[in-house]
Amino acid sequence: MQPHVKLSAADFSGEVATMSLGLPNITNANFENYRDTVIGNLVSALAGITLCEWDSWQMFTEVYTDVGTLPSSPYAQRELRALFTCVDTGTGKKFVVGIPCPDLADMAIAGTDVINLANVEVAAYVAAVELHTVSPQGNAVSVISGKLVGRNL
Amino acid sequence: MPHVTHTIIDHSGETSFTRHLLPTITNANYNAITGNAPTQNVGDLRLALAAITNGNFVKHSVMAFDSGISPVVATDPNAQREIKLLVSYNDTNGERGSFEVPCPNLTLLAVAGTDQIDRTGVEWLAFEAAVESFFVSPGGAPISPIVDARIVGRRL
Repeated sequence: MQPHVKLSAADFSGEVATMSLGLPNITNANFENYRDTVIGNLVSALAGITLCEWDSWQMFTEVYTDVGTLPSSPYAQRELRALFTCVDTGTGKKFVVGIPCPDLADMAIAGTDVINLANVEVAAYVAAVELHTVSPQGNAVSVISGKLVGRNL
Repeated sequence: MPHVTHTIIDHSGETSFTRHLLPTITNANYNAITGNAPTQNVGDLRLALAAITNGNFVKHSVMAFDSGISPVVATDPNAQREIKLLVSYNDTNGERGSFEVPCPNLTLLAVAGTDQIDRTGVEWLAFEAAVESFFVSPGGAPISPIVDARIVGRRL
């Protein structure tokens, strides 16, 4: 998957149509120009040749490809997840973040499904989430708990 | 909201993902947030994730901006995603490619006797110029020139 802009529109039937165009290397020098001007011009040009409004769009600017080999541990299963409950420190609203294939050697505590937040690796993850990510409202985040859950599929 | 999505593969070969929301991205903080180095948001988060999951990473991608606008249903009954334009191009390396444009305005673009559209009109030329000036092929080379555009259907 390359960097791209994805545009969506709803046709007369109410079905969503999409189209994508590749983006060049987006950097700290051209990001705002693409965000504020180039894509807006594309949306205007599309309005001239189609019968839909293309105001719904997203910029995917960085794609890092990893190795992707199968993990060796048979316990690496997406059917098991670590579900962390977070709170927006501004509004108090809670939301969750799920991590597939959790390392239970780090997380599991005998007698409970509650995750061990005191484990060094888990604490480092919590610190990274609180430092680098935001809530759906764009405010700072505090991770308050975690538990092991399953996945239906 | 800007976000980073990590795709993870398990021992069964099945993939799933986890998504974390990122702060608003600007030119000033672009590298600090989207960079993959340990000192940058995305890179540091990836290292922390790697330490607590038994899965392996397949890829991770950053959605840097979302217009936040939900699609509005078109008012013209001829706006149907089942009909599209197939736009073919060469990139500046000579590689061929194509992309699709749903719900074309055929009153403007259709030509009697052919599925190839009229590429001489002002509106179409503006679209070609917008694409050729700023967008690239999967190989990363500028899309230039657009060589053909024709009416096609969609099976679904």
